[in-house]
Amino acid sequence: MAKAIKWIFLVLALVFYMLPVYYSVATSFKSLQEVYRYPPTIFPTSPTLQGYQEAIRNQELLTYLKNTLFVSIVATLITVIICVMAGYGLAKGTFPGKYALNRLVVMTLFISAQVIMVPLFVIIKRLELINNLWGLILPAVYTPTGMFTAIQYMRDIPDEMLESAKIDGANEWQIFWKIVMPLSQPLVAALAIFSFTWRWNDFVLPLLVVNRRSLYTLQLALAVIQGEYGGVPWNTILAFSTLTIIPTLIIFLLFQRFFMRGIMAGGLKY
Amino acid sequence: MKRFFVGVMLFVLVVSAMGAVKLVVWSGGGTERQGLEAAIAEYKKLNPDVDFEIVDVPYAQYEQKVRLGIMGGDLPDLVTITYPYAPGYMQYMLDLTQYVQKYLGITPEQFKNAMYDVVRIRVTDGDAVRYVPLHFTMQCLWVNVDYFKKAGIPYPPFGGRSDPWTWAEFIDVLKKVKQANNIPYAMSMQRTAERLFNYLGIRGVKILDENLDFTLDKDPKAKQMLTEFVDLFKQNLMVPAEWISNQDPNMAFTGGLSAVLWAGSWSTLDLLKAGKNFAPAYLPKDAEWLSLEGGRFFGAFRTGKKDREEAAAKFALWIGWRGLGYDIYLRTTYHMSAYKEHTVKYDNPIMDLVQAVCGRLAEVTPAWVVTIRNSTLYSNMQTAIQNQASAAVAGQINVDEMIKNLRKEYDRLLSELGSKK
Amino acid sequence: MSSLVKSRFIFVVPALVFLSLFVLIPIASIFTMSFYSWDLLRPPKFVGWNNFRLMLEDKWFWNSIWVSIKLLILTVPMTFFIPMALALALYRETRSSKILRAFFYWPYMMPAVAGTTMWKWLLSYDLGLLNHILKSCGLSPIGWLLKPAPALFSIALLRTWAMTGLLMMMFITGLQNISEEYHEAAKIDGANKWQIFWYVTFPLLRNTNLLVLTTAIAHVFRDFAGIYVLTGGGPGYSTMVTPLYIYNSAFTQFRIGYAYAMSVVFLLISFVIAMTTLRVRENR
Repeated sequence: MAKAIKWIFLVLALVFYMLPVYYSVATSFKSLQEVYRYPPTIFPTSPTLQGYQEAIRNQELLTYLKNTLFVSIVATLITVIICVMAGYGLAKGTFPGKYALNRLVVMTLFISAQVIMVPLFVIIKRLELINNLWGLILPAVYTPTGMFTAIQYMRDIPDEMLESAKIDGANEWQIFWKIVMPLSQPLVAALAIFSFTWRWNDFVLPLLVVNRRSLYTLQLALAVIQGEYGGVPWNTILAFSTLTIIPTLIIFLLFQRFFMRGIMAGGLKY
Repeated sequence: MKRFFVGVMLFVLVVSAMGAVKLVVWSGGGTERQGLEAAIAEYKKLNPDVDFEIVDVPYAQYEQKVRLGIMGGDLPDLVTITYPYAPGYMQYMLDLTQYVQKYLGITPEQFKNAMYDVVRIRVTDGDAVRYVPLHFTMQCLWVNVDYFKKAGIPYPPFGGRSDPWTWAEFIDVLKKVKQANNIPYAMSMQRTAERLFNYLGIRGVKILDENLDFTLDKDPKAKQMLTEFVDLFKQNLMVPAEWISNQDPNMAFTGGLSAVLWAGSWSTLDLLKAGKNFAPAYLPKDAEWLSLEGGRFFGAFRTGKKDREEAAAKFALWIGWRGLGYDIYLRTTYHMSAYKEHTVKYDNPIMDLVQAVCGRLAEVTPAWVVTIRNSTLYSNMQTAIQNQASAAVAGQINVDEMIKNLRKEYDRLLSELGSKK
Repeated sequence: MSSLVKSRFIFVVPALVFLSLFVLIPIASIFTMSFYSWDLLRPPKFVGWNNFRLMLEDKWFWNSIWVSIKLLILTVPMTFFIPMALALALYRETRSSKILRAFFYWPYMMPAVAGTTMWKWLLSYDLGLLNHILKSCGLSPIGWLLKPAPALFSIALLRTWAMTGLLMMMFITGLQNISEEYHEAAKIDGANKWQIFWYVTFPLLRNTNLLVLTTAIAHVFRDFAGIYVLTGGGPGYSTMVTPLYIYNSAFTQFRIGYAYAMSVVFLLISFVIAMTTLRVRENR
């Protein structure tokens, strides 16, 4: 009975969540005439790769892909490291000002890139990171949501474990590497997935930093296809965006492997 | 000897690299980029020592990028600028006047007078020429030819009648074409302040007058004309979803739910792609006959590097002057020409109709249409105009409230800007 | 030095460097620039409290805050319970749940403009697929985006759709952090599934709940890309949230100083809301 309810819920949710996704993939295979046809067609009546051909035409797609991969991977590595460390420090630290710093992290959740865009540009310019892929990485590695996720996760790690390690003579670094890191596998996986998605889809920083085609990212290229006025080539845009989702999907499936029981049975005494 | 030879080789290499100028161009991508590329390919044949890098900037963030560029000093040599923002950047643009004689062999006066008046006002700053036209557009009507045939209604100027419709005739036409084809609406129109300005202008009402004073609450006709506008939606002659929730007007028009599209000549390429039988027609004529111009201009930034500025100016004049690169650009992008009596050999005859219809509309449009809209005051009011009109169409506020709210917005803007100019 | 390590402050330092450089300094300059009038072209002009004075009289700004709060109240419960339900159904490492997670995460991976445009097409009054289906079933079409209330609801729906992937993964991470022993113990005590959830799992998820709730509030409150595409703030101003209003002022009118003054006030309001949430939850 409970199982049946669960599956009915899942199927209904799946329809709701996948409808726009399906529709966008289906539209990417339509001709422009069909995109604008009324009544709308649920299946492409004569599927065409026209949108995909347009999407890759005149684009140095491999260059964009290389740039985006470099930025996403490097930024994700740094983000995961600093978030796990800081999350641990802010959850389990004993330094003065810990409370205030925790509050500060929450406050940064509310700041959107669009708001700080202009001053951010000035700083990136001062650091001479304009037209430099590091200009897409360094300003982005502190991610409020990632930080907050790490803090909340670390809070769930029982203090007793850290205490007992201390009693056994481990120093702080050993505790971090030998106890905290192994317990943080699901966190690392989640942060990696999130961070990769954010950097992959980032649009504000590339817009600010990049003035050269050789440094374009996929999202910047996508924004450019959207072109000028109405009458947007939707099949092309959706073809391009369908293509850009594939790598994130692969990362997601890869990193899922790291999700596993965080706290191993028998590792704890309560 | 060998070392000497290598040295000479290096010297030659360095010198030739120095000789070639690489100009950076910012463009809005899409068809604009295709047009620029086509023209550049031809230009490079004539001038092998010049190279180009086109950098696409997303259209929605274009002005942000340009302003940040000006602020940070990272400027391209050449840039395309959307018309409402053109006045703001004039002071950063190279004056092209001095190069006109040199590269086009005509006087600056001849150059300016060749353009439609509405274009000349936009590109000049006193005597100086700050921009060349790139794509130029006028608002017009697009009609679904099949629907009009079925309803047996002629349309001006190439569909069986020569004069523009009067407003009363136009409303009658909308009703008839809707009924004859059994479609839910008659006309599609994008939700913008500019369309409302155009409608009100035709009906003899100005949002701002020539002195940039707000006139909607002084003009006795304003309330009636706005009410009639809102009524068009109530009667389903226009598509409410377009003005209430910003539905793309091309969808209803190309989908066949409406028979007329009030849009710019720039729609040509999009409409051709939709693969239906569409034709341009005159806007109706009521108290006035006018249309709104728009588009993008092309200019060279003052970068302080003499040789680059010179090369940029030379290219700008080449791509912006009729008969030269401009024709290649127009043929690729299906835009109309900004020059009077300029015949471009398009590979699709529809463009001859567009040029004739929109060219005529450009000629009859009075100068105040441009000068009022060429102000910071008006461009800052556009968001409010659009939102207030949307609220009125949705029935959330009435026309009186709309006028009152816009007056407030105007007063606030005026006090903030300090002056009208 | 050793106290830095002992108090574990040293772990925070790298993040703090990036935080200061790329978030705190820009925020400080937003506070400063809110006292200037600036269009990004001419040099900024100091205007004192003038921007704030203008804001007090700006009816649409206060309206936008009200809209933002309404949207928050409407959206947050959905963005909390739906991802939680999905996480509970999918947190175990079975083959089917691994695949299904990817589907629910998909909307979060989609570029905002593409995802929102799809919704816009589905919800369009005249041309939308949903109304088309309604009509072919003989029902009357719904003006999803034509009236203030349904438009706001549609936006809430879209936000939930877009954010579920993120929040569901947060819940899954939290759920996997809970030792199975607790459940085993409860099972031995004879508790049924619902009891286990309400009396064991839910309280143990306290930190995760806080994480999801705060993240949801922050994202719903600060984002506007979806609304920008879906309704553009309409009908009228009825879905004009503050971030969209600020964005319009800053980047279509280029009233940067005024936009920053509004940002300052909006940040303070956000902060109050966040602190209230944290306090209410943490005191329990």
